[in-house]
Amino acid sequence: MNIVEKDRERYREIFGERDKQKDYWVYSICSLCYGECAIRVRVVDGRPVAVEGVPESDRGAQGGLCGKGVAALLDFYDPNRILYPVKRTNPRKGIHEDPKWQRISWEEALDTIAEKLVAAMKKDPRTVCSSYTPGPTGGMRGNVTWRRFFQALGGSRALGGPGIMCGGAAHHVGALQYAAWDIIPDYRFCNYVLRCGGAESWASGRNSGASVRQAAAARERGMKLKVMDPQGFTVASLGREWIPILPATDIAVFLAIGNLIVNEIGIYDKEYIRHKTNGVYLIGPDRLYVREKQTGKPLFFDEADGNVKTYDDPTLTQPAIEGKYIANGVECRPAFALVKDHLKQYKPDWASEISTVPADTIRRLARELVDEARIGSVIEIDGVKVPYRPACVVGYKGMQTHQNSFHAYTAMHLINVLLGNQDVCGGILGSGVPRSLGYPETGRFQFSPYGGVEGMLTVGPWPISTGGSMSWPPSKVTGPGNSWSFNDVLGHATLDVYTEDWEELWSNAGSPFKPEVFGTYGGNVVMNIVRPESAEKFLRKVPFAFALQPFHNETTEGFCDIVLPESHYLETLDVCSAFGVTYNYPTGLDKWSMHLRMPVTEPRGEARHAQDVMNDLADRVGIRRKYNAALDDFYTFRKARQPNPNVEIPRIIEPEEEVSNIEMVDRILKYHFGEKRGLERFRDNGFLTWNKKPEEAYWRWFINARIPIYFENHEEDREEIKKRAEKIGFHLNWDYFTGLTSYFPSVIFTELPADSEYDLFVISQRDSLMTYRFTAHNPHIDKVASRNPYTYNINMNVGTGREKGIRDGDTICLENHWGDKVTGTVKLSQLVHPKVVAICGLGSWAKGAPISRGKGVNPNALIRQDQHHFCIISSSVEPTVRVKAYKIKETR
Amino acid sequence: MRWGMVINLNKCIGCDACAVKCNQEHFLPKGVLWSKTLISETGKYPRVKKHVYPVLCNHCKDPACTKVCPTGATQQREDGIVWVDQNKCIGCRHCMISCPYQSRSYHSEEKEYYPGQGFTEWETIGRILYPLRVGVVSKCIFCKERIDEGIKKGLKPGVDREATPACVIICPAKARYFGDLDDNESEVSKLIHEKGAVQLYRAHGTDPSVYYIGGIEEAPVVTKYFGIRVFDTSPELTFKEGATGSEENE
Repeated sequence: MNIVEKDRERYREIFGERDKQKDYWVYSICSLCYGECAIRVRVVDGRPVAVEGVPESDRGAQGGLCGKGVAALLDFYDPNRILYPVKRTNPRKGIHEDPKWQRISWEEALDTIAEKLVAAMKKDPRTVCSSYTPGPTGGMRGNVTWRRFFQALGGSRALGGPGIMCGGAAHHVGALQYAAWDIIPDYRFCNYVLRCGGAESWASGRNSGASVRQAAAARERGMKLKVMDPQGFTVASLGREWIPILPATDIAVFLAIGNLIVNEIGIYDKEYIRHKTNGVYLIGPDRLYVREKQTGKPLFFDEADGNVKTYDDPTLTQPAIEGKYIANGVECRPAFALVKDHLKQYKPDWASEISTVPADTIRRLARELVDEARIGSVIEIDGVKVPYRPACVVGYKGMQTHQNSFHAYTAMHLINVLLGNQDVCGGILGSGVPRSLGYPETGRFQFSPYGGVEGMLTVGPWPISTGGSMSWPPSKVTGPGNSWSFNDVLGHATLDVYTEDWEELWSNAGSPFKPEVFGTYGGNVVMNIVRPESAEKFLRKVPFAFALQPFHNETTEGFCDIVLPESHYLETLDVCSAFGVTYNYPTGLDKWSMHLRMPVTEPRGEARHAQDVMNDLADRVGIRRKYNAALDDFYTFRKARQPNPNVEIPRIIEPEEEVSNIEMVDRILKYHFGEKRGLERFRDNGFLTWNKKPEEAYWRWFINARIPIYFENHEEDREEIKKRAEKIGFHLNWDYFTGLTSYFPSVIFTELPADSEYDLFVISQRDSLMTYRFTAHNPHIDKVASRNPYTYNINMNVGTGREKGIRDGDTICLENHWGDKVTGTVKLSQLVHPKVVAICGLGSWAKGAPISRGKGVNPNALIRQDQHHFCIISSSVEPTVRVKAYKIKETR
Repeated sequence: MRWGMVINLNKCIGCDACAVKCNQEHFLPKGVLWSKTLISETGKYPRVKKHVYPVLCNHCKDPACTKVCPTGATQQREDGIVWVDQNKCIGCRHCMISCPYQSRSYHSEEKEYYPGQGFTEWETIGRILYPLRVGVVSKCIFCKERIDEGIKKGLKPGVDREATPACVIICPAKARYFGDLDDNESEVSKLIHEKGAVQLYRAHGTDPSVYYIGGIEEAPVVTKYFGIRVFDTSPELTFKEGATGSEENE
């Protein structure tokens, strides 16, 4: 019996009786965005007919569910689903090419794929590259099931996939400062949120259902929401104040606010800086840490006794945050003193000129944040005292995805540091809870951040650490030649293969290897990163490409040789969507809620579970042992980099086992939650929930670890990075690698003159019914979204439209200075900055997604990335483009 | 006993989950929508307000529609729910013209959700569970089948999910409430009283059973059906339905 047959037989053993009932509910997890809210699905005569949230669970909206999750039910019945393997018979590859699919058997499909993989591995495993995204029905299987296969194979890191807005800086700084994927306000207690870009609490994304619920309740009880954003019709519409701003200029406002707080208002959380940041590490004239000569440990000055001590000295009591001292015979100052002085240059009037946010508004925001933060206050929860700081600045997506993103994002978080609100009650939390003290009955399911190298905060949960280069300690450069994303040269940043100058750079590096096989899961790299032509240039070069998807898209049709049918998420048993993906664990004091994606029915047609497919491929390719080890590491949290790496951690999956998906899920559940809480228990009870402790929700002051507010590793590594990178043709502003968060204008303000005819800035924004282009293919979503004036149209300021002779409903063209164009219907709105054009990223053409064809606009078609258009510290692509707009057809 | 609904616009995020859930709950065919969101803007940049009003049939206490129905298809129950008996409806659409809130939909023809690809199993199931004849008018029914079945089981509408309208239970912001307006102690009655919830366009005189917390009685929202503009109070206001959207824009 092969692995698939084993799985099906076991499925019938476990779910067979249930499936015979006429009318029953199944607990599962939504997959229409990476919020992965808990759902329950009503099944009548074996057919899913209704879906809603789970009222008793804190994972999601406690019974509510967004429109995407509800509408997703129809996708199960979509006649366009891929139900059997297909192969391309049109040898030409390219955007808009018709693949002319031919149905083939699973044997032929897997044999072909395995043959190609083996041949590529023989040449060089790095010639196998992959891509994934938390796709429309893929959930987080991309990160686990798919990605670990390619890691086990020795393949190259994922290319693109997650999309242009995906948070390079957010994840990097999230890992460094929060030991988390990113951040979310503690809505239960927060009284004031300054939100800068990002649609969390309004649309999709991690914790989406929960944050909508929490934020709505918070606003109802009086939480003030202020939104700084180039457009005001998404989350800003919920707030008390919309503060329009030019894209990519938030950095100026943040630095000015930081300056006001530290150097004018003078009220900030000194104890937080003293005990929780590297603001106390002594910096010498060379801008590096002053270190103890014998041990190399960084040094502090202890105000309590006037001595210089190492960072881990047990007598250290009152490390200084200001002043001048002598250590190792050199004059030195605490890093915070440098930060404080450095901020003085960033004045509100200066920031106003750059951002168009009035200087008085900047001053007022600084004052409001300080007043609302109640610095110094404490709250008692369940007998545990924690700091209480009910004010925060939060941002994601649009704000942090720019060419200056690292500095912009650290500038934002500097404000949170000054307020002392990180991972304390009412403040800003690492989303998903980075710390678990364990499931009460077993003690397993345990992870925690800790103070690692040089006492710096180090992530506990593995997903962040295996992001590769994002978390502490910093990566050292070793290349070029090992990575075609150049992160072996740039450190934490990666430059995508879809950039305009990638070929030249790779050639300069000696073209160490070339792509042989490309595997994509859940994503749509042709559409969701840069202009399709740039993706096409790379993908055309790949001799063999394959995908595992439930639906076709522009990437599969244009470039894949074989597409395998993945089961729809309502047919899927999957634990990784609920588990180990830390950013969706309920935040703050919401209860731990462990759910499972459970099938409503067996897969239709010949569709298969992704885990079974990858297990099968692992066997064929000969990497089962490594793959099992990778999955086992993941599910046991073995690589969580706990302080004691020598602790014996029992296995869930033995190296040579041909374990099926369903068996694996059962074992994982029992491993963490006990023998009585395996798959059958979840089948009958739906989910598991237990109370969260304040020491978990608000862990910051319970862990002895510091975060960087001075990035000494940048000072240390700058010359080495510059040397290696310039050797292969990177010519960039290496001043970005500075210890002090500083103002750098995004390239969009420097590459063209201020009076350029390309006078508008294109941004893209979320829509509450759209996430991924895939959602536009759902007829129920389309039915309702087509009534929304902002969804399918190009949104432009009313006054700007009038100046340009453009009227509501006209067809216009947006053209960038490279000559790329998009056209669409315009909606004139008062809720858009006059210099901005806002577009929801759509504009599909795939034949396999007919409902979405020709609807909306693809703003990514205007984006060209190269070494000058991405952040060299944390990889964020610059997604804002300057365009000129002109009418091409009147509406009337 | 008079069933009513309160929608809290301070919590509502305009996500349209209500509209989509209603569509799913009643297997609405293509071209028919019982629950909608009206969107508009007032003010001038940068001092602008976006208005989002989820709307549905108001199940008015004194409905205009029942007075004009020639066949008695449109009728009102004792608990206030207004519904259309499609076996009696002749599709004259006088009710649609008379309704000041334009809450009704006319099912003009059978259309596939995936044009040219046949009806999906979901649509086929819908035609069995919730058949809707071509040529009739339909609208929100406050999920009366959920209410009636729920009461039979001893459940309380507005409290027990199974007995409560689908749009109420699905709201992720928990912005919707349902209950008995004739009971002063019900949650909806208390909310109306304590939060100053308003009815839309009271001046029409039909006494709607749907109230809005944080709403404006003469709400600056626009809907356009059959060329009739309603709620259009501002000459600066523009509203453009999705230009490349579906055939909803009749």
